[in-house]
Amino acid sequence: MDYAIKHYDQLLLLTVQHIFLTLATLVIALLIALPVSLLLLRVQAFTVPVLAALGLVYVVPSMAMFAFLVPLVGVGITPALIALIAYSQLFLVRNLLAGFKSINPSIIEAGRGMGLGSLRLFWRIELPLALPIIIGGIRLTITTTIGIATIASWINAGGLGVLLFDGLYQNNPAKIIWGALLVSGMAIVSNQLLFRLERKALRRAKGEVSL
Amino acid sequence: MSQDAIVFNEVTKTFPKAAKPAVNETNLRIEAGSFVTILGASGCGKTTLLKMINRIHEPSSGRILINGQEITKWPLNELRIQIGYVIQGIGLFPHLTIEENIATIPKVLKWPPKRIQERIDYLLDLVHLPQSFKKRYPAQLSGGQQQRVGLARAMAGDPAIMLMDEPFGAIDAITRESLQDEMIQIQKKLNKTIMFVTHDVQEAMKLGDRIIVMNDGTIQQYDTPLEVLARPANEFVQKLVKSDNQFNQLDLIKAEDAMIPLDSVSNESSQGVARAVGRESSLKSVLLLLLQPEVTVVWVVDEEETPVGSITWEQLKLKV
Repeated sequence: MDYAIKHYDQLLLLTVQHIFLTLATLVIALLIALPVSLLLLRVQAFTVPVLAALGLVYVVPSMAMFAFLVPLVGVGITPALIALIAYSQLFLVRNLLAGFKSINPSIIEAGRGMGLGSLRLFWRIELPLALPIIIGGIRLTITTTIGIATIASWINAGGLGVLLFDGLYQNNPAKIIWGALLVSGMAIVSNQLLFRLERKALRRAKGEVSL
Repeated sequence: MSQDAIVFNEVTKTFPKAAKPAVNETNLRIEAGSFVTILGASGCGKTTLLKMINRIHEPSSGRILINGQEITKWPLNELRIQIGYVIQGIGLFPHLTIEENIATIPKVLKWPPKRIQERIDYLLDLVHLPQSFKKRYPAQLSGGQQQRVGLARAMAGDPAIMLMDEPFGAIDAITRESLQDEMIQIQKKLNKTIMFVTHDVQEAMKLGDRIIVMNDGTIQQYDTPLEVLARPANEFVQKLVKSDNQFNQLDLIKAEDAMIPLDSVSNESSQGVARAVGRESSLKSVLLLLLQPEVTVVWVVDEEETPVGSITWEQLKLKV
């Protein structure tokens, strides 16, 4: 506790860094995954190879991935972001696809047939109906990103991993405990929040609550 | 003079990789305000025929005109907004309330909220749903009720043409009958041009002013139910509509189609007892009346109970 009071500025800085890295990863990863998924929905033949490739990327151990990226783009936040975004694609693309495919085709046919434009159909109908499964993908992405981002401090990307690595090297239990607490707390809290959001979106998609 | 609402001109549709066309060199004229049923087995091209009208499918060749205008002249969604579309899968938006579902197209058309509300009230009455359903969600309704909402939603923008693709196919028999009766009432009241796909002979006969019988991508016969029954154009039509039970066949013919119109009744039989039926009654009910003792003639009366024609035993025998 003393440690936290004394070094609260450093703890805060590292936490903010960690949150920033996670959110930046999520936003950029979504911006990539959404068009990729919409494309795959139109060209079904690519779905299996793309998902297989993303699965392959996902199983590369993070240390190996960082070691591979550092010679290419140097150290710091860049290789961390690249790796985290690459890992995120599997859950995001897979759940985006599953979300849109879960919609009863009659709903889409009725919407198109009555003359809804494709933009309106997407925002008003398809997205709200696919949202529960998409949020499920975001939830998995965020929890894994928080975990892997911890390791990214090894390549100077900052974040709470700094605390953990320092604690290990300096044999400083306070640093280890605070680092572990904050990083797991962050993962647990975001998981719970998104889980609630997911359930709410599901109730809405089924027509059980109004927003 | 009634105008042609829909015209098919040498329309052919061949799907990619299909060996033969789903719809082959079809010519067709649909009169405005008529209720046309399209009858055939699955895979005969009836749904493809229907779905070319709102361009869910595009013809491989030929032209389709609505009110004399080629359908490709309109931007796609402007065309579709003018055409009501009801499908077997219903396809209500599950995350929207009943009133939001019905308001979909009026909102696209940017109607003022008051007009949209009035339209919703009117349509719920029209399809016999209580106003209290407005705030409910589709999942809280039965299949039959959901399709009533589907119908209301399709009519929300007041389209002159309605396309219906086996709309009652997945609905239980009793509910289906009342929906069919209401469809007839709605069409009479609003004078829409309706094209209605079905594989159910009884349904096609009951609903259609005229029936298109399709097989193998071509129209076998396009005629009134009575003509299709009495003079099937070929063996296929005969097989399709022929009921092995003559009694059931009587059920398909409306009294007004079999009666001798009043102005040509030369000598009203004054002997015996007379009974009356409505125009829409089936010949089955006429037969049951004629079988009663002493009854020699059944008058066909209109909505105001004014006789418009008569059916005698001899006349009935001529028709079957």
